[in-house]
Amino acid sequence: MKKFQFAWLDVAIGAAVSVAVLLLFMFNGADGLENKLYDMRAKMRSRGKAGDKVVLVAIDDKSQAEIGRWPWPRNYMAEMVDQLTESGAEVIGLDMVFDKPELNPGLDKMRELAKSYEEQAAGKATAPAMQVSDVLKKTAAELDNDDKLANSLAFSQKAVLAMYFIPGQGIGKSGKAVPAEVEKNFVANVKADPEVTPVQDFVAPFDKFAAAGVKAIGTINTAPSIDGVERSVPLVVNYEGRLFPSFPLQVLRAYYKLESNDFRYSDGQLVLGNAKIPVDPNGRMLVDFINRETFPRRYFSDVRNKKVPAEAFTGKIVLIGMDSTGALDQHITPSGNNIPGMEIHGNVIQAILNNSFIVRTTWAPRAELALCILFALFVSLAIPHISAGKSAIVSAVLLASTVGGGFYLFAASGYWLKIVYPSLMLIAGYTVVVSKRYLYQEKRTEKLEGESVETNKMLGLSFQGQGMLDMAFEKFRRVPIDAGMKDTLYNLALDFERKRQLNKAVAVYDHIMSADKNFKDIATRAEKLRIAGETMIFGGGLGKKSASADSTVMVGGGVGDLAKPQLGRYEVLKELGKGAMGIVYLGKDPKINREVAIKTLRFEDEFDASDQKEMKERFFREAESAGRLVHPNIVTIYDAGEDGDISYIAMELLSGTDLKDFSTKDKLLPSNEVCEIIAKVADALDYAHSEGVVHRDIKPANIMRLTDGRIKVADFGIARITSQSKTATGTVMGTPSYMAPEQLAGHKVDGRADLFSLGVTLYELLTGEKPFTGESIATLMFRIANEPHTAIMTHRADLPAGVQAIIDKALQKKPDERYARGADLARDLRAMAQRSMAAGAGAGA
Amino acid sequence: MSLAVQVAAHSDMGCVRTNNEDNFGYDARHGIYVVCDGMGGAAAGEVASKLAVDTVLTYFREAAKSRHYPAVGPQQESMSQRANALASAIQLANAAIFETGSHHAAQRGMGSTIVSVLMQGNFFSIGHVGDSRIYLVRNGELQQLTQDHSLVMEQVRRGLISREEAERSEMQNIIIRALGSESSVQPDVDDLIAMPGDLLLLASDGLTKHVKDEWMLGIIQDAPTIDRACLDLIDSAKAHGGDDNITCMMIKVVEQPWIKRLFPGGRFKKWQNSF
Repeated sequence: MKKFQFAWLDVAIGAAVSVAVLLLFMFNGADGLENKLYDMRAKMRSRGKAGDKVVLVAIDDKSQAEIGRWPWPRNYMAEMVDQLTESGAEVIGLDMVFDKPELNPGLDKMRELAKSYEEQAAGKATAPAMQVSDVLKKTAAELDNDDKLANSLAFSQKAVLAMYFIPGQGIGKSGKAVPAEVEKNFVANVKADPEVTPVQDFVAPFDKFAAAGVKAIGTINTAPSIDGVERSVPLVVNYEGRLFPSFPLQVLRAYYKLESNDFRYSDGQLVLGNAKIPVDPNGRMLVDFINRETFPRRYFSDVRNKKVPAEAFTGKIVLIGMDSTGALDQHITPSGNNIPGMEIHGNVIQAILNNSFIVRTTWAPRAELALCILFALFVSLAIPHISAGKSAIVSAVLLASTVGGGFYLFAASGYWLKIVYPSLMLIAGYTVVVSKRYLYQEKRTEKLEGESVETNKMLGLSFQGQGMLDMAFEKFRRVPIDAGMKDTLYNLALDFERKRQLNKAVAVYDHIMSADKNFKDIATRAEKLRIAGETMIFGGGLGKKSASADSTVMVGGGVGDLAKPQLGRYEVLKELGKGAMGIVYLGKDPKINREVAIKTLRFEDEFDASDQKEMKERFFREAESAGRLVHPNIVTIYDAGEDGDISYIAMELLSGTDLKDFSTKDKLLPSNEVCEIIAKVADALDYAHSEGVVHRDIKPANIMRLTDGRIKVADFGIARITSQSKTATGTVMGTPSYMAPEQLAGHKVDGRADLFSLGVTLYELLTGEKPFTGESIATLMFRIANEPHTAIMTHRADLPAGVQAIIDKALQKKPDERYARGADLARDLRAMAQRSMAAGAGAGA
Repeated sequence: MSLAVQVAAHSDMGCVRTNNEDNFGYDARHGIYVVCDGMGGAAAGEVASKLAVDTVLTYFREAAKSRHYPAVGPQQESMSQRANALASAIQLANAAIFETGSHHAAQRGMGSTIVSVLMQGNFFSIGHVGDSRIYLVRNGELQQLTQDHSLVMEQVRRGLISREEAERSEMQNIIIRALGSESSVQPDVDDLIAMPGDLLLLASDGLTKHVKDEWMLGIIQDAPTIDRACLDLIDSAKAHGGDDNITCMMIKVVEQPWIKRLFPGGRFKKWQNSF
């Protein structure tokens, strides 16, 4: 069996990879990759969304072509504000910083002229000079575009202006006073978290605009990620401990007509009115972008030329900003490149209006860590112990569900989980551990314990070649069934069939079928064998000691339509029992309708191939000589033959028991009857010996006492063949308690050895004890050969007096000192029995 | 230079034993030559040696099919792939005998020695376990390539007894390493270069303990063919006692003329399984 071995090295490598990935996770080492995955997900999420509340008015290349190169005189902007106000726009956001007065050299010159005329006029006070001065002043006022824009803003009351804070943390306070108009925008109710994006200086709209009564001023600061992509936008910045809201937030505040102190901030949420905006500790919001193409945008020139219907702006938030090539205000976002700042702001506004956010929840890092650790365990504990194929499948499934889950959560619910770290854990872990296994296996020096597939296959083939089919099958079972293996197994099954071990052949077919039901003809073969196996009782391993073989039973009924199993010319009717050599069947000779007992023997299982032939010859020789014996006290042998691998002997069918049943102390037969039985056996032996046949295995088990009281000696000559073979292979020999010394020594034996054995039998049947005993076969053999037997009277004192002498003579070590013939023993026994009966009768009288 | 081999092998029961526990087999197609000397009661020695020979042959035949030598047991990185393949085959044989022994009570404790040669091109590897030997005759000199895994030879190696004492020792039969005695075995393997004219002699101890090295060289050189040499060696062993089975296999490395390369085949048997 394959033992579970803890793969220390693989586990260590898996653990190392896991730790590396965990470190990456802790230090955000793979955020670049995660960002790319974020962009993919964001793009996926942006699909199919359209803005509806925000309209962009773009100062783009087309407008510049029609109107002139930017910067335009600010009265254009003033006219636009006027126009949009008239159109009913709800909020007008000017997404550009007007931090300085308009550069207008003509106006300056005119003012200078007006001033000099005024000075001249002040001196002389001449009317023409005054007039010129007035005209100049008037013209100057007409030309002052800043004034016009300031007026428009003041008139509109819907404008939101942009300002810019210079990022960075100043060492101390800048000391620069924040203009009152900017100051009033600061978020009074929100505590300035030190983590909120710090800024050190600002660029505010110049005071004429700031004071013009604009609704609000917001910062247009950006917060690009390390790769320059703007995924989030700071909603507030921290200037000297005070938070200033961003431009889109201010636009929204204006839209909802809220005041600057209507902001709340708690637990990663910035609350504006009823809108809860999730922000990170830096005060940034992840922007849920809208597909670029679908964001409503108008060209400045079209609007100016009245090509856009006024209704397009009614009730809408209008952002005016640059969107021309070469403009500085271009950004990269997950939704695309060259995104104008105002579009980002538009997206922020739209997202907040739609309450559609991308959230990095507080449990996200914990979930990621948990997933990482789970996969780390998988990588370091599971992958080293399962096959590469299996771990590939499991890893792939885990990876797919991680990535899929990450994408789904993002696209459907806007939850952002960093899927890159768990994924990395899986990919790196699997790759490293598995490739290590492959690389290392090449020069692996440790023992394979003979468990590798090929070893098993070759051992199996080797065993099969030696005819050890069971062991071969055991080995083959551990080999995965591929095309070549199917053939190998098929051959093994055929081998089993040849050996008539049909149920084992079926088992092999079943094994093949577990992989391929339609391989060659196995299905029909197995079916045929199954039917045959039910009727053929000599199916499985006759004479085998294995449990499976012993369980073979005959199924009598229901097979009438099938041919009865045959052994030679005999019909096999049922199993009678198991003999020393093999199974004994009840058979019928169909020709003369005589019932017989058939003893079977499988040589192949008992002997080595080299011995088989010799043993078979001997078996039939012995059977033949035993078959010549005809005696009332000898079991008659009718026939011997072989069928396939099974050799059999057909003999007289008798009912009765053998004398083994009467050889224990509490079941002893009366001594007179014992003497008579032994005398009869001695007669039978005398006859057999005179025919030249030596039994070689006289013992109680081979003497039958039939139900009608007759005595029969069974298994002449044959029994010993099997026992001898078993002696040789050392398995079932039992004890050689009945053997004569010369038989034990391996010398040629004659009838006197049988008489020794009969003496032992007599001894045992009279006393229930054996004359020679020993703890081991070796001591027993030594005692039989060298030591005198225990005197029989010590076991049983009430035996007739003559018995001891008879026993002593039968058990002589030297054959010459024993009874020469069975008849002599029979005579002595009968004489003694008569004497004791007479004595008994005399005593009774 | 392309080398070819001729092979001859004979096994004899000897003068005393009634069964032959030795076995041999070879397969010139895969360049594998094996001689085994089985041991164990009853017929188990024969089973073990036969199993060892067949298993080693099976290993190389199967490996040729899959074009890959499966590693069995520990591999030695310092050795060639060829030597490791041979070691694997011997390990496999060991496993086969060991497992058979533990399945069949009658064959418990059976074992076998093994000497084997794996020829590939101009190189060959040798592998052995136990007290069977491989000799190399090159340039008229006889050289023993293996070191017996026997108790006496171990004693000689450690300087406890002299070589002469070893030859008289009563413990000659005790071998300290054998196939089938444990679940794994460590075969001694070596890599060598083949030269034309080389003669390799694989022999069981039935030969080596009766035929002295000097005589061996003489017999080999006097014989007209390697087949004759094998028979002469066996006869010599029998003449000097022959109390054990004697097996002797000879492999002759010859330069292959170009015509033979073009038309392979010949009167030599390409392979023989165990008998």
